[in-house]
Amino acid sequence: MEKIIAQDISKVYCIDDRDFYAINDLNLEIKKGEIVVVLGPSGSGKTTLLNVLSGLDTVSVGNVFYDKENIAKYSDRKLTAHRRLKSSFVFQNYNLLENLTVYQNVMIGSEIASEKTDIDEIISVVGLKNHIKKKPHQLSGGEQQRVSLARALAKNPEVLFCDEPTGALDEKTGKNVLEKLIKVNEKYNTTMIIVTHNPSIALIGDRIIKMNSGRIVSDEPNKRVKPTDISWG
Amino acid sequence: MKLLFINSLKGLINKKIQITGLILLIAISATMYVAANVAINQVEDGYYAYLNEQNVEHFSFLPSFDETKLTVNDLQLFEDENLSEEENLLLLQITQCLEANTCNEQQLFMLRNLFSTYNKMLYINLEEVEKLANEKDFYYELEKSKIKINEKVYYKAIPINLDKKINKPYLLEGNFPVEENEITILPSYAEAKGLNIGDTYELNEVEYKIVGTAFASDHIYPIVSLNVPIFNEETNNIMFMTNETYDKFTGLEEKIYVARYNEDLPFNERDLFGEETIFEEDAISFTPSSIARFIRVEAIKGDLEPNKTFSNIFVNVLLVISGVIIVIIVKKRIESEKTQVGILKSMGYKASAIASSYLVYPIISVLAGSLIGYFIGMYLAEPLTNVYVSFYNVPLKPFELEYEYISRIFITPMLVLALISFLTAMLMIRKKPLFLLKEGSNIKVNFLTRLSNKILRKTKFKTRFKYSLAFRSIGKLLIVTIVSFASGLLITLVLIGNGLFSSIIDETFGNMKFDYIVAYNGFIPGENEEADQFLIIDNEISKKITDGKEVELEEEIEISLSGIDDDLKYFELKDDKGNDILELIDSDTDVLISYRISELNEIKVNDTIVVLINGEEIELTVAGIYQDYFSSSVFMNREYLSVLYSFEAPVYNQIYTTNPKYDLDGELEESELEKIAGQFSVRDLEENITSQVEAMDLVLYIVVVFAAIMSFIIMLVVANIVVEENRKNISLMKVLGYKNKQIGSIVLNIYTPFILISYLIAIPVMIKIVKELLEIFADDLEMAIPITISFSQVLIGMFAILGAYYMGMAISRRVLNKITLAEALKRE
Ligand SMILES: Nc1ncnc2c1ncn2[C@@H]1O[C@H](COP(=O)(O)OP(=O)(O)OP(=O)(O)O)[C@@H](O)[C@H]1O
Ligand SMILES: [Mg+2]
Repeated sequence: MEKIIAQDISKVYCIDDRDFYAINDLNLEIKKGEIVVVLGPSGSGKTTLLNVLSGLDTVSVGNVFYDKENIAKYSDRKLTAHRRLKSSFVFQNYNLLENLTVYQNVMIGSEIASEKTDIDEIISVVGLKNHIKKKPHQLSGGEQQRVSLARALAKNPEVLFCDEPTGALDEKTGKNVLEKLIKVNEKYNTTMIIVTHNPSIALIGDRIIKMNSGRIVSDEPNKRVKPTDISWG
Repeated sequence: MKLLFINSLKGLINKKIQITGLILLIAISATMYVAANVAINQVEDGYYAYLNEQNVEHFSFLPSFDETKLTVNDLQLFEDENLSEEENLLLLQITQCLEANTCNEQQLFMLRNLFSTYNKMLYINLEEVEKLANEKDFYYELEKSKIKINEKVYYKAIPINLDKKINKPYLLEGNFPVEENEITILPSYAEAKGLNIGDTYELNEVEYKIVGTAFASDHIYPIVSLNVPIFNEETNNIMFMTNETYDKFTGLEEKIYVARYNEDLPFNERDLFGEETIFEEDAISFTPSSIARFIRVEAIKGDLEPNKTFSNIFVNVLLVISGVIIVIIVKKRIESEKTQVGILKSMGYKASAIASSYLVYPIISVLAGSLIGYFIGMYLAEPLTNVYVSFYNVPLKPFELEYEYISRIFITPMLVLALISFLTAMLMIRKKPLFLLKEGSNIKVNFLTRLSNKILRKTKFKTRFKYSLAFRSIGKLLIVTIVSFASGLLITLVLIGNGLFSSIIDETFGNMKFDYIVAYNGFIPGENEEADQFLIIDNEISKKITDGKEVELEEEIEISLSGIDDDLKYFELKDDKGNDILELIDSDTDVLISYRISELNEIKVNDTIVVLINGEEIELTVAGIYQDYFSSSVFMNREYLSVLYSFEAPVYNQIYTTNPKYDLDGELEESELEKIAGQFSVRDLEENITSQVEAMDLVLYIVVVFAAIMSFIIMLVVANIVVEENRKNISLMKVLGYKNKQIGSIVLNIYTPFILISYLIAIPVMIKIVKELLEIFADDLEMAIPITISFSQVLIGMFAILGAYYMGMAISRRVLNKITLAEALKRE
């Protein structure tokens, strides 16, 4: 996959008989291997954008191309297959399977991957080697988020979508998770779209997109800064 | 996929109580099914094989007797017999009417009875029988037997004939007799009396040698004599002996033809006493003993069928309850794992793949439950089989594991429960991943909450809070209500079923003041000072008149018209409150009917019933109902009944007495003995019925125990669901500093009123169900059974249900308390 193109997309919610545009006629193109950071105030439509780009949700108007494939026209079944093969998610709250160990939680991702991934390698990339036998409730928040990241990576995704991956974390653990993300991008050339409302985190990306009221208000290239070097807002 | 199963499997452990309850329910239902069906099938298979291998009769008959050929000279056949006064009178009457050619139906009928009593086979036309046999394709042969009563034991002697085509004897142990005075006996009698092969045995001052044990194949239910229709192993014996020995045996002889169709029609397709009965044919006619013989061969089926039906209904009911529980478990599980399911979906797992992982629940519970049930059931099958077989003389087939059992207890429930679980899971998982990921997306304020808020507005905050919690999910409430309803049904069954049959026996026999019933051959005029006298004549109710409107009956109601006097010494008629109601017979046409007649045919006090006597319709008024669940007697004035049947003076044909000379081995004068057709000892009868009823009570008792256990398990599960449901509330309240007791009263007691209401509704429903079920049983028990429940029983049931509920709650909370608060909140 070379690029993702969003073409004139809108997402409309109907509330009390009035249309509400969570995304309003938006255009965007993302290239392979890019780290795109999406910034914006609460309610500006960041999560919504992430959802429609990834195939977790559908657009109301417009097209979303993965190269030539328009996922906006996909059926539920095809979308499921698309999610399985192309994209992966990291959520703000980690949502691990509480009955399974760290190792098994990561395996849940690799089980449906198109090609088998090396779980041990991924676990060591996110730095959880010493915790593989633990259950989620025996981990700290940062560790849980890294399991969630490892799970997403285990699917060997082409695009990784992260919605507030550090939202619930303190500076030290937050930076730690970001470091791992960068490491993954460098190692596997994974395209990454990271949503945050912390402007200082945005500096880790190749490109910073600012949103407001469902529209892109600015879209500027950025020179990557190492996570350890940023000052935590 | 494997991991999803592991995840579900581990999730199982968190629902220990619910899943254990489910496994136990399935185990119990499998136990009941396996035990009942293995026992029944073993007896049934044995039975059908036996019918064919021994060529058991299809019916029995006497060749018809051609009255038109009868002349006065034929009556001389009776010259050598010791006829009673009454019989002589009848002969005299018939002599006269034959000469004048004016004999009526009734006189001829009485004469025919006389012929069969004294074994005169006159004007029978065997050629006609032969023709009928060819036409209807059956073969037949004459069968002889003799009955002898000695020291209360009824002996039936049958000559051994190994070439017999029909009703071949079945040897169990030892040999058939070949020498003079050698006999075989029934194994049940041998066991009851401690007799062995090789022992000698004295009867009629003859010494017999026991050479073996054997069944008479037409005595599957071994009614030895019509006088003792209920089998008792201590007083009933059947003996095979050589023809010579048989000829010397003294006893009342019966000769009857037995027949068997060449083509073996299944029994249920043969209409023996229905509309197209073979007895409609002119060439043959049936005798009372044909019916007895029919019962001997067929009764076993009447016993097996309802049990089979019952165990099937039981299994299906349990399957439904298990289905409800599994839906609850799966639903709860997915609800609590909603976000996880959302994540899996967002990762690209298919809904069906996720749903399949929840199949772990039905698979594990059915496998575990059915396996446990299978082994317990097989273990219980043997004693249960023996309970059945103890009444029947039928050899068993060795047990074979049939596909049907496996399918019924493993495959069917597995498929059903798996399908329900899968559908439940699919319905919930089908939702969009985003919906599942949203926090609190399932919390809805519904109609009931708003309504309850409105109603409860004036009450304290705590009350309002409580009920808004209860109403927050109608589903939850519905589940608790339905499940406690099921439990209520079972508890009610326990309450009404416990000792049901024995209590009826006690009631029936407990206050009988007489010890003997004596039936006479004919009608005796005059008085017997030491007894109550009865004139009993079988008749039928052909019409009933309710509230002035005539109601056609579907079928005529067979009754015994019983004439009694108003100064009875021993016999009593009481209503349901125990009051003597004899005096209600005020006028000639007043009658008292039994509870059974009244209940089965919907006849009330003041209704009019119509009977036919001598071709005339007689209207009788129901003056009262006496409490008897077995009887089909209609009591009325004896004098009037005698008049109706054109007797010149009041007559009787039965007495009730306490005089010990009427005991079976009492000392009666020869002249009186001759007139007697049968003597019953009430105490013997009571003993017989009790032994039979005890077995029924045993079956019922098993059901009751299982029902009690089940309703207990169900309540445990309900309590567990309630606690689990409110886990988050409980943790939260604990964090807020509420004490356990306060939490209990706020969160956990909210369902108590719903449980009580469900239970109270369940009571009348179960009573109705039991009544319907008993109708099936009662049909072959020939009795109407009163089903009532007392207030104290209702209370006991209530305490039992609530007790189980609170106990379940205590257990579930202890499990819950073990989880630390931090963990509990983290998990949510
Ligand atoms: N299911 C929905 N129905 C109606 N409106 C919705 C729905 N989901 C989101 N919205 C609205 O769309 C807008 C954009 O929401 P979105 O979740 O994308 O915001 P966000 O930029 O991610 O905010 P935050 O930083 O707080 O997470 C919001 O105003 C929200 O109220
Ligand atoms: Mg958001």
